[in-house]
Amino acid sequence: MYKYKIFLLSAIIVMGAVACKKAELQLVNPNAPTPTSALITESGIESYAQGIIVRPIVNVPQEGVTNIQELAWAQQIILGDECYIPYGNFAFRWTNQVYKVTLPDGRSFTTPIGVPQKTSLQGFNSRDAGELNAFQYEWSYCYYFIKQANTILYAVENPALTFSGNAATKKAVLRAWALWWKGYCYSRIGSMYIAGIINNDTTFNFTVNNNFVSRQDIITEATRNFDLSLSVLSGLTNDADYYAVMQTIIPSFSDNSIAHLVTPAQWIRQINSYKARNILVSKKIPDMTAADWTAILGLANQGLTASDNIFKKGLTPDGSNDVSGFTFPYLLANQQNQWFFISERLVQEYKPGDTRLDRNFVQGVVNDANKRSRGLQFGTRWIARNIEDGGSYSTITGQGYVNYACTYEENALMKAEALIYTGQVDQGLQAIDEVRNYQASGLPAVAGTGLTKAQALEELRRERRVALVFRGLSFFDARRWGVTAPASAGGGRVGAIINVPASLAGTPGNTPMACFVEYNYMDYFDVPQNELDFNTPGPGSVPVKQ
Amino acid sequence: MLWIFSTSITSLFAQTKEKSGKITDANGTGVSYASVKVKGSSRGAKASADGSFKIMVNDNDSIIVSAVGYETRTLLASDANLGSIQLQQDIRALNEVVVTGVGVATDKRKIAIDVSSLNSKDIPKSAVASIEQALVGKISGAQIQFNSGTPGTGATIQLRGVTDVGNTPPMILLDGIEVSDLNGLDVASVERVEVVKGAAAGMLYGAQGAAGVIQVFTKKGSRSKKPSVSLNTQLSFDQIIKGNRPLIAKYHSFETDADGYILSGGSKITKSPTGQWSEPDLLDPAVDPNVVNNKPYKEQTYDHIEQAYKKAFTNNLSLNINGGGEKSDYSFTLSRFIQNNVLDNQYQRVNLGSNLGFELFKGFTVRNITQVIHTQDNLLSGDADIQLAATNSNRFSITNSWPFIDFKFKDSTGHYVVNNRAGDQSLNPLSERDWHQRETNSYRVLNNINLNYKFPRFVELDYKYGIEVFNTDYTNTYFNQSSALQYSIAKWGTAPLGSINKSYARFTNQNSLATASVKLDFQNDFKMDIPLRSTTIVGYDWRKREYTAYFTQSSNLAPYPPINLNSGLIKSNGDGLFAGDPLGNFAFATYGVLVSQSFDYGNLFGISGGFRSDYSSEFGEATKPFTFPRGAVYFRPSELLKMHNLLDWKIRGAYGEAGIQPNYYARQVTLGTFPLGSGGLGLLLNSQVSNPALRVQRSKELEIGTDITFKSNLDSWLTRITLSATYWNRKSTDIIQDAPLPLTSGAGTLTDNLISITSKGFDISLDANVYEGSSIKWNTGVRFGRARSIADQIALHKDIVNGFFAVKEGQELGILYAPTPLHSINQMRPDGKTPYIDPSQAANYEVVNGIVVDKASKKALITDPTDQSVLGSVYPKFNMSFINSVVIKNNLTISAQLDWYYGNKIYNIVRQWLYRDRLSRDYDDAITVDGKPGAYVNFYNSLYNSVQPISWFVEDGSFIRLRDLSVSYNFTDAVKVKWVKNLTLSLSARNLFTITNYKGLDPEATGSEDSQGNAQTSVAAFKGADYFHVPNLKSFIVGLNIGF
Repeated sequence: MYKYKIFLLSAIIVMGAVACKKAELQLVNPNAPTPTSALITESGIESYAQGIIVRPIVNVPQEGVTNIQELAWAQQIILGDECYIPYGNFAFRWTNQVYKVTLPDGRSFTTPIGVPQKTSLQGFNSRDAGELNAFQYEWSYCYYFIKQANTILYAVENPALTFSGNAATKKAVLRAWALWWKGYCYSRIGSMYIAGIINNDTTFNFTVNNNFVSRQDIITEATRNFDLSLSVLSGLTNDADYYAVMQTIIPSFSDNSIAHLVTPAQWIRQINSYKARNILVSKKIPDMTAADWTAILGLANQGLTASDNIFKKGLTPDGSNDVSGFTFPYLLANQQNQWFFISERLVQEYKPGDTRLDRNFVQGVVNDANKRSRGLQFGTRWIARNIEDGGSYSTITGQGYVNYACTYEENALMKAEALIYTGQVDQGLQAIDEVRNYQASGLPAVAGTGLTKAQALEELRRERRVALVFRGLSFFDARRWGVTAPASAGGGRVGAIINVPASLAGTPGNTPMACFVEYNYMDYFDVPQNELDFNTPGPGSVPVKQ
Repeated sequence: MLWIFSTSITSLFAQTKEKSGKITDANGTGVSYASVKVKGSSRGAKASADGSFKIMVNDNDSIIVSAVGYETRTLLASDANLGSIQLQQDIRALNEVVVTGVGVATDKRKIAIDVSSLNSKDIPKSAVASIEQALVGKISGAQIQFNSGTPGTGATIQLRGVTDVGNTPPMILLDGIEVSDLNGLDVASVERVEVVKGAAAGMLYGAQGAAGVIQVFTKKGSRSKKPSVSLNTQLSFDQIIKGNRPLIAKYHSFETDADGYILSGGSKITKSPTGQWSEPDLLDPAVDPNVVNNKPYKEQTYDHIEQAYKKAFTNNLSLNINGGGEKSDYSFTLSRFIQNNVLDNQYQRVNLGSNLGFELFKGFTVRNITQVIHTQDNLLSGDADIQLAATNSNRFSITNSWPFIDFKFKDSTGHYVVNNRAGDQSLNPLSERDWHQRETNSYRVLNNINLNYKFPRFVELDYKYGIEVFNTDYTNTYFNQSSALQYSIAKWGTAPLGSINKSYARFTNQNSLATASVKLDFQNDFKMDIPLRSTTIVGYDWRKREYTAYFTQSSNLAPYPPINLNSGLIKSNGDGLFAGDPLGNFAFATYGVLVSQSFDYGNLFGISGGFRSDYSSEFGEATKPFTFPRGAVYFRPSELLKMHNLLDWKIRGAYGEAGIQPNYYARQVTLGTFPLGSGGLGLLLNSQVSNPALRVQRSKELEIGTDITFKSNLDSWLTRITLSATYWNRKSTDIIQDAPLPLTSGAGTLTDNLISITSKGFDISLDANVYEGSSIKWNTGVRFGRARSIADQIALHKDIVNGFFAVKEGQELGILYAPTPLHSINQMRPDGKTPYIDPSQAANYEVVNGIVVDKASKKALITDPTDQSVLGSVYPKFNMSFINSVVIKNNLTISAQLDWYYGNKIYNIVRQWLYRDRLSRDYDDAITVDGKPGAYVNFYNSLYNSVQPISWFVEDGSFIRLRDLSVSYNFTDAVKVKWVKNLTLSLSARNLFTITNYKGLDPEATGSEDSQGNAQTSVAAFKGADYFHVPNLKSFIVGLNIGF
C-alpha cells in the first residue's frame, strides 16, 4: 500500500505546484506601458509627445500598414501637378485625373474614366471602397494627431507628473508642442475639407461629438490653438531645459542637433507664417480683400527668416526606426519605387537659365506617354535626380528632409504676393529675387526691371511653383488661382506641356506639345463616409458633402 | 423478487468453485475492466485494471468474456485456457475506442458525440510531408486547405464552418496534451488521429474548444513483444501544379514597326546596359477603340514559370523500433526529411520520438512521450519570409512580366538582372540568390509525462503534464549591393547597402491535466439487477503559454566578407521579431475544472451531462470564470431489433458550449511603442482600442446523428457498411469584432464582443467492404461535409468590408463583395429609379456575353462603387472525398483518393493584375461587338479598372483533385527471408490531376490576401484570394518499407 501513498503524495505535490491562483491570471502586457504608468514620468510624457508623429501609421484596407500623412502629402503633390501617379492605389489615379486634354490641333481627349475627378472621388466615398476613398487620409491622421495632442495637454496637468530641472519650462514646451499640432491639424482640415469637427476631449476615452462646423470655423479653431501656443512660447527662452525637451521630442532622423532645433522665437515666426498661409489659401484670388493682404503682410513680416530652423522630417539611412516606409515623398520619387513621376507641367515652369532644373531633374531616362492608357497627362521625359547625386527630391539611401509646415521661401513669397497686390510691385519682386538667390537659381534679378503687376504676378506664380515644390502648397495655389476650376468657369491651363504619344502626335516618337488641360478638380474634399457611418451629423451641423 | 430468489437457489445447489484468470489482448496486455459472466445466470465479475479476475463457476457453465473494443468470447468453465483468455480486437464491427471529447477511453458504439478518426494504416502512401496531408479528405466536416506549395507551410484547417471571424484554428492535442500546432510533427510517428469538430463535443475543452479539437496519438510499443524494426524510405519527385490553361496571352497589342517588332518611344525595344527593358508602347484604345490583341511576338519569348520553378526532390527516411518487456513497452521513431524547394534551396527536418510505458507496480503506469523536432530551411522567394506579413510578391514578376524578357539573362557582372522591367517595381526572383540569404533553425521539444493509477476497483487517477519548448533562430541577410549595376534603381531588401537581421524566439506551452474517474457497474459492483454503469469524471486543467522574442539588426554592411552583425554601420535591436512588433513577448494562463457524469444502461442507451468552468488571463478582467455546460444522449435500436443484417445502429444527440479566447492582451489598455531614430522612443495612443471587459467568445452547438453498420446477405459483396451522419447547428455569440469608431474620436476601432454567427451543416461518412473475396478485397469510403455560416449580427449593423471580402448581416461568412459589370441595358442604380444608361442612349449599347458594352468604345460598363453585390462565398457548398482501396491476393494494394470541393468562389487577383499589362490569356479571346468580332483591348482594359475589385475576377473555385494514387506490393512472401517480416514497395502520386474550370494555376493555393498581398484578418475567410501563392506540388513518390 505504501506505493499508492507515494503515488498519491507525489500526484498531490505536482498538482499543488500548478494549483490555481487567481493572481496568476493577472498577466500584464509586457510589451507596452499603460497611460497611467508612463505619463507621470518625464521621459514617458516626452516619449508621448514624440510619438505623435507615429500616429499616422495605420493599416490601410487593401494596402497594409502605411503612413497616411505621407499619402495626404502625396495627394497634395499630385493635385498640384508637380508629379503624377498613374496607379490606382490609394485612389491616386482618380485624385490626379484631369478631365480633358486638348491638343494644339484641337483634338480633345476626355479622361478614359469619362467623368470629372469629383464624380470619381465622391463615388469612392464609402467604406466599401477601402483604400480608394481618397477623402479619408488627411482627415484620419489629423484627428489622430489632435486626440494625442489633447491627451498630452491633459497629462501635462497631472500633479503626479514630475520633472527634473525647471518643470514649468518643460511643461510649457509640451503644451506649446501639443497646441502647435492642434493648430496645424485644424489648419489642414480647414484648408482641405468643407466641414470638420472640433474635438477638445482630453480624456483617454474616445468619445465624439457630432457637431460638424464649416471649414472657416475650423480655421478659426486652428488660429485659436496657434494663439494659445504663441502665448506659451512667448514666455520661453532657448535655455537648457527648453533644449532638453526639444531634443527628446524631435527624433534624430529629423535632425535634433541643438544647432538645428527650432527656438521659441523661430517657433513663433513659424506660427505667424502658418497663420498667413491660412488666410492666403482659404480664399480664391478674386475673393481676397485688401484687409486679407494687409493681414498676410503683417504676419509674413513677423514670419520665418532665411536662417530659421523649421519643423521637418527625415529618414534613417536603412529605413529602420523611422516613420516612413516607401511613402516618404523622396522615396516615392526614386527610380526604384516609381510612384512619383515628374510632371512636364512642373518642369516647364523653370525659367531658362534656372540652374535648379538641371540640379534636380534628369531628362531622357524615361519617355512615358499616356502610361497604361490612363490619360494623356500621365507621361513625362523627366525623373528626379537623387540627392546622392546632387538633387533635392529623390533619395535611395534615406537622405533629405521634408517640411511639416512653412518655410522661409513660402513666407517670402507670401510677402511678395501681398506686396504686389497692395501695389508695392518692386518690393514684391525683391522678395522673389531673395528666394531665387537663396535657392541659388542663378537667375538674374527681376526687381527694378520695370515689370508690370501682371508680369510680377506671373514671376510670383512661376516662383511659387518652382521654389515651393514638394511642400504641399501647389494644389492650394492652383485652387486659388482658378486653374483647377472647370473650363466653363474659366479654369484650366493653356500651354500645358503634354508628352503626346507617337501614335497621336503622328511623329516617330513621343512628342511634347503645348496643350490645354482642363483639370476640373474639387476645391474641397467631402467628409469621408468612414466618419459619417459612425457619426451622423447632429442638428445644426453644416453640410458635410457637396 | 421471485426471479432473483430462484436463481439464487439454483446457484446454491450447484457445485460452484472459484476460478481465476487473466484477460489480455493480442499483445499480452491486460484488458482492464473486462466483463466475465456466466451464461444464463446473474453471476459475473469484472476484471481489474490489469485484466485479472475471479469468478464462481460450475464446470459446465459457459463463460462469456466481453470488453469494449474486443470480440466477445464464450468459453466453457472447464476450458484449460480460462486462466489466460486472449481477446481479439473487434475488427468486424470496427468498434474503436475513442478518448477525444469524452475523457476516458470509451467504446465508440457508446459515445453520444461525433468523433472522426484516422488510423495509421489508412494514411495514404503519398502523405510524406505533414499530418495535414494524411488528414485531408479523411475527416468529414473538416476543411483542410493547402495554401501554398512552399515546404514547411502546413495547411489551414477549419472544422464545421466559421466559428469566429479571426478563423481560430482547432486545438491540437498530442497524446492528451495541448501543443501549439501540427507543424513539423512526423507522419511516421502517428498511430492515430481523432477529431471532434465543435462545441457539442467540447466538454473537456471549455474556453478553448469551440473551434474543435484534433488529437494525435503517437506510436506505442506493446508489452511482452520482441523488438520490431520498420524502416521506411520515400523519394518524391515534385513539381508545381500549373493549371489547365495558360496564364499568358499568345498575342499582344503593342506598337510595332513595319516588320512587326515592338516599339518603345518610337524605336525598337531594347535592353539598357543594366539589363532593363524599356517599357513597350501600347496601342492606345482611347485613340482607336478598335485596337485588338492579335499581334504575334516577333521577338523570342520565354515561359517565366518554366524559368523560375524547378523540379525538385524530396526524400524521407524513417525508422521505428518498438516492442516491450513484461511490464513495459517502448517505441522509438527517427526520421529525416529533406525537401528541395521548387523555387530555391531546401527545407530539412529531423524528428526523434519516443514513447515509453512502464508499469511500476500493479495498476500504476508511467508513460513518457517525447518528440524532438529540428527544422532548418534556407528558402528564398515564394512565401518563405516570416518577416513579411504579406505573401512575398516575388511570384508577381514571375507571372506578370513581358514575355520577351529572359529571366535567365546575366548582366556584364555575371549577375541576374534585378529589375528587368523599367516602369515596374517587380524584381526578378532568379536574382534574389545573388543578394539575399536567409536561414531558419527551429528546435521544438514536446514532452509529455503521464502517471496513471487504476485502483483495483472503481477509481482511476490520471495525471498528465506536458511541456512544449519551441525555439526559432532566424538570420536574414541582404548583401551590400553597391557593386550591382542597378544599385540606384533596384535592390533586394530595404536598403541598397544591405542589412543583416537576426532574431530569436522562444515559445513554451505547458499543460497540466489531472483527472479522477470513477466507474461503477451497478450489476457487478452492487449486485443490483439493472445493467447500469456510471462514469464520473472530475478534472482540473491548467495551461500556460509564454513567448519571448528579440532581434538585432545591422545595416549598411561592408561590401566585403565576412558579413556579420559587426560589419554594419547602423545597428538596432529590440523586443519582438522586428521593430514595433506589438507582441514581442506574451504570457497566457488559463485553468478550469471539469465535472462530468454519465450513465449507460447496458448497451442500449446512455446519458451524460457536465460542465466545465474556466478562468483565463484574457477575459472578464481576468477575474470572472465562464462556465460551459454540456449534455449528451445515445440510444441503440440495434439492441432491440436484433436484425441479422443490422450489426449496429446508434442514434445520438449532444449539446455543448465551448469558447474561444480573446487575443493576447486584447483586454489591456496600453500605449503603442515605436522606436524612433537612434535612442528615441515614441509612445502613442493605439488606433485599435482595447477593452478591459472582454468576454470569452462562446459557441453553443447541438448535434444529432446516427451511426449504423449493416451487411448485405451476399457472401462477398457489401459484407459491412458503416454510415455515420451528423446534423449540427451552432450559434456563436460574443464573437470579438474590432468595431469601427468615428475617426474624429482619434482612434480607429474598439475591440468588443459584438458578432453573432449561426452555422449549420451535415457531416457524413460512409465506409464499406464492397467486396471481400478470397483473392480480392475492395474497400471504399466516402466523406461529405457541408457547412453554412451566417452573420446574424455585427456592430451597429454596419458591414465589415475589407477589399473584396466582407461580413454582412444576414449573409453567409466568407463572402466576396464587389461591383459587377452591368448585365442589362436598362439596369437601375441602387435607388431603383435612376437607370445607369439614359434610355435615349440605349441604342449605343449592347449585351455581349452577358455584360453591357458601349458599342463605340468597346468598354464594359460597371456598377457604381456604392452598388456592390455579394458574389458568393469562398467556402465550398460542400466538400467530399472518395477513397478506394483494392487488395489483390493479399500482396498488391491499389488505393486512390479523390477530393472534391464544390461551389466555392475564388477572387483571381493574379488574373486581374495580368489585365493591367494586357498579359492575361483572356486578351486573346475575341468577342463580337456591334456585329464585328475582335479581341478588343478596351473591353478587357475596362474590366481591369485598376486594382478596384470587380466581380469579373470572381471565379468558381470548385475542383476535383486526385489527391492520392498508390500501388504497393508486398514482397515479403516472395523474398522468403526469415528475418524479413515485411518488404513493401510502393509507387504513388500526389495531386496527380485536377479537374477545374478555375483559370489560375491552383485553386487550392489561395489565402485571404488583398490585392497587394497583405493577409486580411477578421474577415472570416482564410482562403479564396489567389495572390501569387506558390502552387501546390504534384509529386511522384517511390517508397520502400522494410520490417524485421
